[in-house]
Amino acid sequence: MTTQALYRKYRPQTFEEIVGQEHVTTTLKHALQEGRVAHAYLFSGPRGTGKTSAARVLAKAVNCLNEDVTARPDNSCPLCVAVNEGRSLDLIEIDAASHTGVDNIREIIERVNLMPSEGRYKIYVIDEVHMLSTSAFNALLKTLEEPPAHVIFVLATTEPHKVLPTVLSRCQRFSFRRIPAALIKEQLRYIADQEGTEVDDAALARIAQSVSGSLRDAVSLLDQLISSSSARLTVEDVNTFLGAIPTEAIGVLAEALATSDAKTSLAQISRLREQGVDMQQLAAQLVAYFRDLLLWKVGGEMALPDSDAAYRQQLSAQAQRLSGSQLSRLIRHFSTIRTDVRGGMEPQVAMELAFIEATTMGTVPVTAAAPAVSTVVPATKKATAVPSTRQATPPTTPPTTPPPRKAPQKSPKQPAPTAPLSEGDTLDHIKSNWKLVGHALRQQRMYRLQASVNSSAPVRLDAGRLFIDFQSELSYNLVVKNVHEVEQAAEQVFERHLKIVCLLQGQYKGPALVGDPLPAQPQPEKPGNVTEIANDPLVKAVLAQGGQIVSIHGKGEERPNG
Amino acid sequence: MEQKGSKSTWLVVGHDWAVQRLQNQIERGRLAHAYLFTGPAHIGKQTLGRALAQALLCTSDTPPCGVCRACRLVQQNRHPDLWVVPADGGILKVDQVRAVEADVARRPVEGRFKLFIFPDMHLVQPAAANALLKTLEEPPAHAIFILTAPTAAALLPTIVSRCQVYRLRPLSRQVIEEALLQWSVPPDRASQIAGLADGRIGWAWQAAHDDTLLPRRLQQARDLVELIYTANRWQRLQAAKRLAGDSHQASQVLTVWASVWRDLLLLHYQLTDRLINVSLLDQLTPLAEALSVVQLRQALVRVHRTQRYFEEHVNMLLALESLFLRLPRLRRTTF
Repeated sequence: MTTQALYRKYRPQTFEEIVGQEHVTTTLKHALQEGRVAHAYLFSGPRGTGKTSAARVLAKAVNCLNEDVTARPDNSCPLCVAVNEGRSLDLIEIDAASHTGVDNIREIIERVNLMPSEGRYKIYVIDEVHMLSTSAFNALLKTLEEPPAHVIFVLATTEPHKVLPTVLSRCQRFSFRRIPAALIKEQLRYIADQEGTEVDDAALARIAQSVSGSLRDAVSLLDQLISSSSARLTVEDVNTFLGAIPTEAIGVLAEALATSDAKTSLAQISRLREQGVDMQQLAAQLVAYFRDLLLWKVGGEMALPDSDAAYRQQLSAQAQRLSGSQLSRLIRHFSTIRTDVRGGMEPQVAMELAFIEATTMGTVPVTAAAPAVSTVVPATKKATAVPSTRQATPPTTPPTTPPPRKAPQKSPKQPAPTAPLSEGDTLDHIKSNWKLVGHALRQQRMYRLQASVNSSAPVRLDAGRLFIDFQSELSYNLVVKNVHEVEQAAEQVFERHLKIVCLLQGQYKGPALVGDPLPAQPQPEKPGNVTEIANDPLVKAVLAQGGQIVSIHGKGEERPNG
Repeated sequence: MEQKGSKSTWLVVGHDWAVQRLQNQIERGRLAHAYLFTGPAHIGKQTLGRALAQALLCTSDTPPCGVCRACRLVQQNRHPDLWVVPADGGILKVDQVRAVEADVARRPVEGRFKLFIFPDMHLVQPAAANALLKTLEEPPAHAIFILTAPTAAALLPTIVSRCQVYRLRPLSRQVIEEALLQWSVPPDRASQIAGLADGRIGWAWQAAHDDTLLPRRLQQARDLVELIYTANRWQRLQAAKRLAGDSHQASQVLTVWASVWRDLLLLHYQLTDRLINVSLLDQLTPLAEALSVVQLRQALVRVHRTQRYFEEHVNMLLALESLFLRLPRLRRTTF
């Protein structure tokens, strides 16, 4: 019932039929014509590029009975036919993947000296030779170096680096190339016509693109598609079958990344998932797409000769939006999804997280060409949930803020979030985002400084000076010594330079200040607050013990941890 | 897109394209010798495999009829020409594969085909996978292999390249809802289950037949909301202790929580139409507004990390305590 697979039916029978490996086939043909056939060959190259086929053709050619040397193999003499029908005694094919042991090789060596039964040569084709064990390789060495005159070895492998150097040096080596998509497409067209099936050109092109240079994969894909589709084969059929994501959809995602648009990217992922897209495939295609973009940036059209016009247009439009370093970062970022999924994370969630990270954490700072971007302002969001005293806070999280001048790039994984300070913002804004300064310090591994800054409270802002108050002398001293770092961190967060003035328990202890000196008493910014706080039962109790209200901190704010 | 009302008689909900394609192959006698069905858990991979077995073994004129003796035997896993080889204790072992290989060459007892279903191919031992390779490449003409796994990436590439791969996708909410209605589930319940099923028809089937599943799931999601509003560490630790008592339940709860956090993230971006826990929308919205993306993302990552800890047999109580203490805190407000 099962018909012979197309890739076996259309296996090349002559050197000319081997697609895309002219550098191998012409060399072999010349060698044959001049009678200079080597005793050992190593064919290496990716799967499905014609290694085994070339080995068989070579086997036929050396034994072919045709008088005309250039016409060999003629596929009509008894010896050629015997090979084609798989019953030649002089062509010995060994699958090294399942015969890895030294005993299997010893068996070969024992028989090497026997003369060929019909032809001039005995040809040993050892496929997947990299799977041989080391001792098997070593057993083969001596025979491979000086085999009897009637023996030709052809070793074939996809992984030549796993073959011992001593073996490599005894063989004539031919590297098979990935077959260009255009040639694959041509071959598919030929097969489709021979089979008498209707196939769209675009469908063939899509197949050819998807197989990364392996003709066998392409042909067996075509085989499957022909056998399962009812009418004319279209590019949509191919895409559904491959689970491949159309490049436009990838483009939408890349665009969302370029503009840091988490919402669009999440919606797009959901849509793709509903269409049955495999998230790992999506990750792989994204990485491939970024790679193409990177190549495009570097080499322009030259870098991607196989691509079609629409794709090129898409690339050239987006290549301007993303810088080289961003792209390489994105490639690395999306390559980790694979390990996340291995670790048991659900693929879709891993993908969504990767996008959220990439769009919100400053992995992709915007270039001038991109439209406005939403930056994340954590912590401040909480303001809506804490009691109403904070309702006066100006809207600190505008959905779109002007593009950050230069997002901090100290650690690409988690750059500190920012909360740009705009003209209208008051001390409240700084207060509610004060922890971010600590966070920024943490990014630079200044943990002690972070702790000290977190224990301080901003109390006053005027003329670009920010007064912060400390309760503990220890923290105060540390910050005073490193005030420059804190200022830098604050600049990162608020995107404006602030001169930081430290107070210890409300008292200024440093050198005299220029201009307006210091606040005699750090005024609580809202007198109403004090009475309100004083009414709190807990505070009341403390006040009754002789306590004093020094400053008022945000109630709902989370303690710094983790 | 899923189309409703396909003309086929296959006992499969959704996946019409796959059914159509398989049907075509059967009609033209161009069957492959090995199929691989991939897709998330509970979306009907095995069901499709069984339906394919029925279609091939059915003795009526319009296979699969679902009523003939062969079809019924397949449904009950008792057909002599159907081998189902599930993982044994979490692993698909070499011995199981060897047993299959020993039997592959024998002629089928009743029909023209002999089917081998491996429902947990991703749990295969490497040695077992390699042992299967040769049989999978050139099985006898009467043998057809059906493998299922969550993703093709979980299998050896050499296995995958020998199979025709069908990537089954989550079903749309509508298809699931219609299926539930056909199983005579009341409409409002059907719609609720379809929402929570997240494309997994198998889960929807379970939920429709187990009355406790749905309320339990809702309660688990509510527990999380409650926990976020619980600032008190002592209470949080107590909650962790309660959950750690039952390991099976704990991992279920984490799965639900992961879906809640994901919903919160989506809500944060106002993507309301993709939510899973729709019935909790009122409770989730204020959370999504109050929490930052960073917090939401971290919480989701932490829940996942804890799930992985479970698999790695980390002390469950410690893992849960660490998770619970680090979940964001909010104060309940009345607006």
